[in-house]
Amino acid sequence: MNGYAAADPGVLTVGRSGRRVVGLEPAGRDEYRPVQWFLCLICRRWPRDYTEGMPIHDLGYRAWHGRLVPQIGRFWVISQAGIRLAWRNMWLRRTLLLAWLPVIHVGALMFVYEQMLANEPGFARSQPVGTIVPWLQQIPFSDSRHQVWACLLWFFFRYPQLFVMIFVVGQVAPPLVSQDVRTKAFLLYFSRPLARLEYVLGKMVVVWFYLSLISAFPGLLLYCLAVLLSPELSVVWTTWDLPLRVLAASVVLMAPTAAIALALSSLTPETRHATFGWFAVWALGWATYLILEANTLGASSPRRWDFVSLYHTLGTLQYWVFGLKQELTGRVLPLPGGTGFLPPPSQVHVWPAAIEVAVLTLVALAVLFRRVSSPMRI
Amino acid sequence: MIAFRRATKLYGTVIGVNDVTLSLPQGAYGLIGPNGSGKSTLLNLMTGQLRPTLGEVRVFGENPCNNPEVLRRLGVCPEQDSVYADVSGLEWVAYLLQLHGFGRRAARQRAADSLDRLGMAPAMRRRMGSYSRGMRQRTKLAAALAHDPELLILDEPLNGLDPVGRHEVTVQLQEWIRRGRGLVLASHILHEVEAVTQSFLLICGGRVLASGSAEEVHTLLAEIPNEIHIRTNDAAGLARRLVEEGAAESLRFDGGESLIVATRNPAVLYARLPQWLDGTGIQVRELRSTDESLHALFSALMRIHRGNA
Amino acid sequence: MSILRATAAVFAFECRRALGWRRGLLVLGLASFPAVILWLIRYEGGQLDRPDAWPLALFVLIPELVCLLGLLLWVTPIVQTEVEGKTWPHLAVRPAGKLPLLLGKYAAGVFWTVATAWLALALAMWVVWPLDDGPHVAKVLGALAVLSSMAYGALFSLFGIVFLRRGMIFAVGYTLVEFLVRLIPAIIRQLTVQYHLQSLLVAWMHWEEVNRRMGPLFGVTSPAENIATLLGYTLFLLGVSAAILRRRQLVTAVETA
Repeated sequence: MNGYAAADPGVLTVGRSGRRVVGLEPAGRDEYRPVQWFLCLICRRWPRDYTEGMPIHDLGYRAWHGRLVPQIGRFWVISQAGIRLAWRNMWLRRTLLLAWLPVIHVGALMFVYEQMLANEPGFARSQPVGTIVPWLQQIPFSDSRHQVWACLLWFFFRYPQLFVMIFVVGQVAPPLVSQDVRTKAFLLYFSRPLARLEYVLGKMVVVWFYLSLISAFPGLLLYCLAVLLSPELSVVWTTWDLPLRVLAASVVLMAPTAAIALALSSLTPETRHATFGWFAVWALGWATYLILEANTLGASSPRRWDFVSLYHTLGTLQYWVFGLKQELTGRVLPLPGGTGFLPPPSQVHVWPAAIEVAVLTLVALAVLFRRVSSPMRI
Repeated sequence: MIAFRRATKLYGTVIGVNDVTLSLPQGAYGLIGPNGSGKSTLLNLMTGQLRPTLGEVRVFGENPCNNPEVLRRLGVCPEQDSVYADVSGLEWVAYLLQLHGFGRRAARQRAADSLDRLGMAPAMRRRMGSYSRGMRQRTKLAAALAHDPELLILDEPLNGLDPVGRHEVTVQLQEWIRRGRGLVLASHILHEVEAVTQSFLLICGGRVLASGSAEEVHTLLAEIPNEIHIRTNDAAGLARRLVEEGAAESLRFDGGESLIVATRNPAVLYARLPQWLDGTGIQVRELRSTDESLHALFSALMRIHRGNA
Repeated sequence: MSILRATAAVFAFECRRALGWRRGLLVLGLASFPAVILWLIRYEGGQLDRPDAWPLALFVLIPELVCLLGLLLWVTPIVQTEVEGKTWPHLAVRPAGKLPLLLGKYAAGVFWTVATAWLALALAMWVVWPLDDGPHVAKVLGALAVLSSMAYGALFSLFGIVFLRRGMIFAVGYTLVEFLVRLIPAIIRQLTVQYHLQSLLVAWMHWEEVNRRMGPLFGVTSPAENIATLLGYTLFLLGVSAAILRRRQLVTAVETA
């Protein structure tokens, strides 16, 4: 028995070698799929009379005939995966919960202020308020609502949220690129039709998502709270720009921090080194600023040292974003800057700060793009 | 040598090892199971890296957890393929020997001898980051053997080795066993383990399903029908035909067009099927035999344990 | 005997492994940071450009900042590196056990941190020279760097063992909290490492007058008490770390069920 199939060719054939051949679909030579053509060319053998089988299972690539997601939306796949992975971190969730506590504090301040504005002068001078917030008695009541709200929102961004941001980004960002490098998932990403930009954007959106949870969302919520705690809805006409300022301040916070954190993550396959780098940037900058500012205390025209500390540079920018005046700031809030070791944020020099932040962001992005493409360069 | 008494290990709600009772006298054993069956958990319990949630584990009559006396007599080659990239193989093995209590010079000498035995002499002074996978595997084995333990516990030791490498390591392990030392070799590939030892433990789903010699395992395999998946235009007709010919132990339909045939004589079925179908108009579009006899073995064992067989 | 020998083996191995241009660059970077700051102060002139202000600035920069950063990098992840790198199984099955591993890696981390701190001190002294009683200041700060590295090192290694993947985050968080707590004029601040380091600084620099002026910032306990407390902290925290590490089951799974 030579193993040739009987009546129905191409259905079940046994090759001349006696091997069992399975899975062949009936096909003429011109009906072969590209894979089979290619293999026939390589082997220089063609089945004759459809009865000489090739030991090839026709399980080749099958084209997708459904609808593909447009290229522009592909970064979101990476972002979703990163957000879900980061969310599994219990300590991150706890940090996020903690990050919302200042909303209560600042919301309470807004409530007290609104109560005072609602023509209840006794309230401001009452025992509890006088004890807890004595400086509120110094506020001019006439038409400073916009300034006070802006100041409170700036305070929210500048102090609690900027601190929390360091811890949130320190947990989310370092493993984003470094783990891909270490586990060689990098190669899996770029063996797909994915551009560097989409990869980087996908990772950035992960950081932006968590940053917006502690900046933009609570900031907007605070604004809504303030409106709801106001005597009438017309306050919106005088403060309509504040939500936009909140968004702008969030962008000022998110853009450079995400870029720097991801750049550090891309520089090393070890997550702990990226984490260290992230904290070192803030610690060294802060320490330098403290010492140099202390050195110039009491000088007649002290040089500004904000630029050595990213924390203080971002504070300067946010100060400008919220359009604050120094006198009001010093009066409205008992800022550490107003009453002690740290000088107040000045009406300064927003352009140097903006340029510095822009340059840092661009350099970080350049490093990130370069590192992302390095495994693919020969 | 090794004893498990109703040992269970839980990772939260996930069962790693489930109520295992075993007593292994001095000898060599192959621990066979599919991926995720609990082999590594069982080995970690033996080496004291894990404590059983319930029950107890004894190695050389003692609890191996944090027990230097037991650990001194063990040689362990874990499955993980990670080593220090910036350190040479010689330095690394010598370092591990120093953790056994050997002096620096003695550790280096032993390390060099052990690496040499495994064919790593030319490369032992190179950084391990430049090693191939097979070289890393040999280095790990050298580290496990260097202090001349009494019991060797190897988790997938032939992973990543080329055929020549596999043969060499197999020969080493056979020599090891001939010297009367103990061995527990975990793998999911039956014939690899078979080349080294004739005693098996079959583990699946955290339970030790069976144990015995190679012949007993093969007999079990032979008794288990092979399943063949056939896609056809007339599944019912094909089933009828096979029943008439007495070619199937059992049949079941898988969707409208597919038939799964269990038979003890697949060779006969392959040879005679075209003949049986001649003139019937039944077309066979796909014929697939699961070659995973180990998978079939474990499926059958699971069915037996569940009382379904 | 074998624990000591094994600890020495771990220490030597880790130090040898760390030798390289990367580590050198890091050490140099960290060590030169205080010198750069002090040079800027010198260049600008100002309040701190006074002989009696330099030791305080040096204290903030070296035994505090440089040591803390070094420990964060080299001590906090002592177990995390092995677990994440999947080399832990090779080490944990050795009879010497986990204690020499902990002690050896701790010692190596502290060694590198102290070396960096001393290099930073040398560079900083060179910038601020001439300095009143310079050798004495150098000795005081050198000793404080050692005590700071030992005490914080033990603390950070505990964080690294308890919070395997988040040890660094907790170490930074603790540092921030301690920074605030040490300002509270109550018993609680005596529990901080900072309090004892500052107290030693005041005592060894004979800054009683400064202490009276600054009020609650610096403590008044005797140097012997401070040193004993710091060493006690070190031993206690290392003991706790060893006990936790002994109990922990750190298994790096290649596959999951």
